[in-house]
Amino acid sequence: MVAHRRLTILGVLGASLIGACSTSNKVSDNGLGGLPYPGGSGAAGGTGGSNSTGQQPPPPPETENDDSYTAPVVSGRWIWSANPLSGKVALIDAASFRVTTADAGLAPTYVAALGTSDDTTSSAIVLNIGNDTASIIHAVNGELDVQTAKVHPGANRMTVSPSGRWALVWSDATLVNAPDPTEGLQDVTVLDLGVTPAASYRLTVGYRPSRVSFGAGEAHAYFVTEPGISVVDLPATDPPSVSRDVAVTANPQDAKSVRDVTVTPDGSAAVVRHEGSRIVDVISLADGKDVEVTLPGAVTDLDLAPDGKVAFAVVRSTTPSNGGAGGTNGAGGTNGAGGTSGTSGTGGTSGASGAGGTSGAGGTSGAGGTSGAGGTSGANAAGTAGGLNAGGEGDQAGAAEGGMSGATETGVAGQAEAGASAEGGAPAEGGAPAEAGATGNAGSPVQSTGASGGGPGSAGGGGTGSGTVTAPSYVAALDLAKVLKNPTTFEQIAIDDQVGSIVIAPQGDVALLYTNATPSDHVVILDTKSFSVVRTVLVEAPVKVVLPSPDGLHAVALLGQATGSQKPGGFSLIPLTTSLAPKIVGTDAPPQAVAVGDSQALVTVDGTDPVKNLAVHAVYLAQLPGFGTTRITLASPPISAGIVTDPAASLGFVAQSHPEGRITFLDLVTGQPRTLTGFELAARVVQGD
Amino acid sequence: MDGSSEAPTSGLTDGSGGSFQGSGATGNGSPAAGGSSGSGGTTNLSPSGSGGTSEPPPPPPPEKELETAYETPVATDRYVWTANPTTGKVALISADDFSVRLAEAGNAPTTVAALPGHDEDAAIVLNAGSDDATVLRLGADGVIKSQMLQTHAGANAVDVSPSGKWAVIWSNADLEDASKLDPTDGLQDVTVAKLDDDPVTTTILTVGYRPSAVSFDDQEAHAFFVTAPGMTVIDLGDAPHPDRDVLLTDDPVSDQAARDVSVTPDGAYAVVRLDGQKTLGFVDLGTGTRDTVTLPDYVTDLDLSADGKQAFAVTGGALVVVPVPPGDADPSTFARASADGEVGRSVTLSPDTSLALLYSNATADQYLGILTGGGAWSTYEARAVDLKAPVQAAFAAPDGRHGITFQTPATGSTKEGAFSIVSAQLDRAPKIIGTDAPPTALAFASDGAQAVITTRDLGKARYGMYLVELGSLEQTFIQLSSPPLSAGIVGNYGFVAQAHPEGRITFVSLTDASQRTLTGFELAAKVTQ
Repeated sequence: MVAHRRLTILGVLGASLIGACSTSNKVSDNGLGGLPYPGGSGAAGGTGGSNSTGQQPPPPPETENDDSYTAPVVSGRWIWSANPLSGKVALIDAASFRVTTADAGLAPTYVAALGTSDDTTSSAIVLNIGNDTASIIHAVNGELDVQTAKVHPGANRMTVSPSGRWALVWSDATLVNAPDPTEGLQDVTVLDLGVTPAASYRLTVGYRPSRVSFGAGEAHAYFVTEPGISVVDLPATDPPSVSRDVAVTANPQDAKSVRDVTVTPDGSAAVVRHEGSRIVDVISLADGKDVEVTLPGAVTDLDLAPDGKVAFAVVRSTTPSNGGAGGTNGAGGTNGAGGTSGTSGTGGTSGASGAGGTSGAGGTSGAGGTSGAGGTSGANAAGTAGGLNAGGEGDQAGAAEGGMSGATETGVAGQAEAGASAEGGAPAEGGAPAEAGATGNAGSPVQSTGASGGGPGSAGGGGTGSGTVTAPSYVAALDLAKVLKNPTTFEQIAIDDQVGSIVIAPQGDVALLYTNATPSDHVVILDTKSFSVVRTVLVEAPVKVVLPSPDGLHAVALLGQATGSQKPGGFSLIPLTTSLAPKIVGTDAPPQAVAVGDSQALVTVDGTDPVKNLAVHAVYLAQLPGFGTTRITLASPPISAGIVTDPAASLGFVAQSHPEGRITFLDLVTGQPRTLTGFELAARVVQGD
Repeated sequence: MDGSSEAPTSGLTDGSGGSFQGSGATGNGSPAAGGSSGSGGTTNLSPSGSGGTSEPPPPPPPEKELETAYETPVATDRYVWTANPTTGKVALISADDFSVRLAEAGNAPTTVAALPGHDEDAAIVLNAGSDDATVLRLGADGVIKSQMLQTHAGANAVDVSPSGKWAVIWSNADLEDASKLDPTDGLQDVTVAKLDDDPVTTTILTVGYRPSAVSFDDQEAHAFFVTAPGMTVIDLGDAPHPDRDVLLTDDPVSDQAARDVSVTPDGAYAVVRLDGQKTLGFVDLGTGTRDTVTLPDYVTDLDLSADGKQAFAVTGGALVVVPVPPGDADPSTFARASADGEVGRSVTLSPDTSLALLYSNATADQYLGILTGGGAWSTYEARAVDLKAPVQAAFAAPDGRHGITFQTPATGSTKEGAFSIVSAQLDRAPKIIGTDAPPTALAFASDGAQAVITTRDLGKARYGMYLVELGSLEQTFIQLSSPPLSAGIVGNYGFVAQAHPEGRITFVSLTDASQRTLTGFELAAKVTQ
């Protein structure tokens, strides 16, 4: 299967129903709008500012976006698609557009590819929610062979192991309409696809499973449930079984506060975030050891690095970041004296903003520490805090370069590593007078945990403007192996912005920070290797979700409606490893789905043009890194999008809602579309049954 | 109580046999409600009224003992006995080949109890319409022999001693319509049947006012009737007779309704708990001497170990183990056990007391404490689990490795009831199952591997049974055509006897859940294979 992430809103059963995952629900509601916005200006960050008491009502929780699991799936050059209405599964050869269909069970809804495909063979499994069965389909030269396995009643999700040996069929409460409190949905069916016929095993996991993952080597599967994690043993020859349930809280009354449980890929640990809590639990799944990590504030999101060794936790600022007029910077930062280890001063200055904004001076370091250097200035620039690592030697930080004027970019504060006897960074030079609109943020203190010595310095001085982030957001990097030994040993940086969500690129050392709980047009790019902020980009409209490309070089942000815009939504193409400006594209309907590859991205839109009052179904093809975009009109509402990168067929595709099946293929270079309709009708297809 | 087999009721009225209607549970399920442990259900075992000089909080509302209402075994090793009040017949069904034998009983045979310990399969049935009982024995020739016994008028309960030598037939006020009982209806007549006499002999005796429970000592030399004034001790010798009445509390006039009495298997002691009191009473049944132990908090439930040497009292949301008799032991040295997150007020123990299930049904409490210990309980492991719906009753499997709870609908639930399967294993999550009709009966296999649960809603005509595999926490639902009356496990089958004019019983294989229903088995021509 192509290793790209897709965000998909579903149109199941031929109608634009509420999508299967909760995020889909939220995103599909008027496109990407519908979130409550504070203030009245609607500008990113709004008029901001605290009220007279300095207290802001807490923003709503961040919205998680899950991968689609009901869209057509790509496996090599093959595309598998299920039609719940007709009960058929279609296999499309993207190289020749040949279509083969087969009968599945009643209401085949969820499709997953099995293992890898080649030019002649491909396999998939389909969950038929209408008659509690799964269809296992093997294709050889386009000819389909179907086996059926019984699953437990009410199954509505399926997770397949990477090798294709195991299929875990389970029940997701978010897909059940108003489940009864006593509907624990605890039944799961484990299908062993490594034997013929496939063997079906019924197991019981904890209450309301929400996620499942396979451990390294596929020896175990981990069901995240409300009370904890159910560990399923998957022996090579013996029947699978539930070996234990690892509780995430000692007190069952606390289980409801659990918001996120993430299991590391090797199954060694689980990381638990509680809604509204500054405590993150790290649990060893081997021995059940549970340590509590305390962060500066309520943790709003948490994600694992691709290797699963580090968890990144985000603490969202309680004050919104400002767009609009430039912000103020604090005075030059100083450090506390006598640091014995690399602690630190902060440096960070903000970029100039507003008319006459100037950059702030760099902070100075205390003994043993280095400071963040002075930040940059630049038009519409916002400075961000320099990051510091606790301990160790460091180099003197130099002044960061200013951002480009006219671009909605931020200057980068000089990076510094804590170390001994470093001189303070030189003050940054002010950039050219900036247009109003950018935010100058005060450099914020950086905390290095586990180190003693000088206290954090204060922000560097800088330009003037209105609006200030008075309380930073934080990102903490928790090395799980270290934290399990000492829960105070972790790195943490302050972000002079309101960010609450994090997404980590599958490759490269980059993560993206943003918030969709408030209308923010900021995306902060974080280097996860140096654990420092690269820059902040402004995308001019509220960010809903950000998806990085597999290679970590670019990202696509889906956007809501900007204040004063006639466009219901949009998207932004963001370069992650260069300082080039992002591209912002307004769309005449809210974005629905996105597929991001290394070289292209597809964004589908669906809705009603507010000006013309006409239905809009379209897909945008964007080139990466050039950022050229092409709009292709679709005849039907899009359901999902995908990219085939097999050498035999380099195509994008958009599955659409149509009673007889409709899919549009796009040449990824030219954007030339080709649409197959009614590929389930005998007259138009080669039947496989 | 230990050592006797309660006879099941076979009435059809909803609400009998232990359905939950009108239980009157109140509250929002906060496990801390009314308890001394405060919010969050911590294991605060401090006396109620913590805070020093403040007034102690009032006692919690009384818990309800509901477990015995659900357990109605009517099976012997290989046979199921079932009575039909309409036809006056009793059927004996073989679980081996589903063959059916019929026998005539008296008028309106209603209550059946199996007779253990005999060479042949035997049962005794109370005939509600004729004030007599019938003893039925299956001979080696396959013929059922019967003997009619004259009983006192109004008998509605029968208890059989563990060896099967004695059957005590009595009148339980709880099984009568309270509105029809006159204050002068003392229900004091009991009939003692000596079953190893041939023919069986009976003796009608008098016990104290309104007996509520009966038990036997290990030697089966005595039967103990708990009555309103205290306890009547029956001497079971060649000529059974009331030996003595024993006062159980200092104030028998005021304490009657609030009394919970357990008798040790050797018949030496009665352990008494009173609702709203912090004391446990220990009564030497030989001398009548009464002793008390004062615990830090109100004692809300009490259970005895199988050997009668330990009393497990629930006080202050925790389990306290009291030696029987306590002697001069300091109550502060008694072993205490509790589970974070649950303030239990009722306890159910496994037969070997290795598993204790703590819960509360006086308020709508959805949490269950699962404690595993043993011996003196000086060490134990505990956890609390959220079962999502208020717990009404808890049952421990015979092997102490699992438990089952019966529950009322959760707030916002569209279900009529629920049950949960819990493991004693610390690292296994419970399984919660909502049901379309309230659970009404439960039977465990003797090895604790399976259980059968029936559900019944007469108003909506919803009837069913669940076959539960305890090890895997799996359940299989089988819909029934008729209201279930009783359930049990015999051989390799679970069975449910149902209300049907011609008799109906469904057998479910414990191995593969295959079913066989026999209907009209009282008419040979209509037996359904």
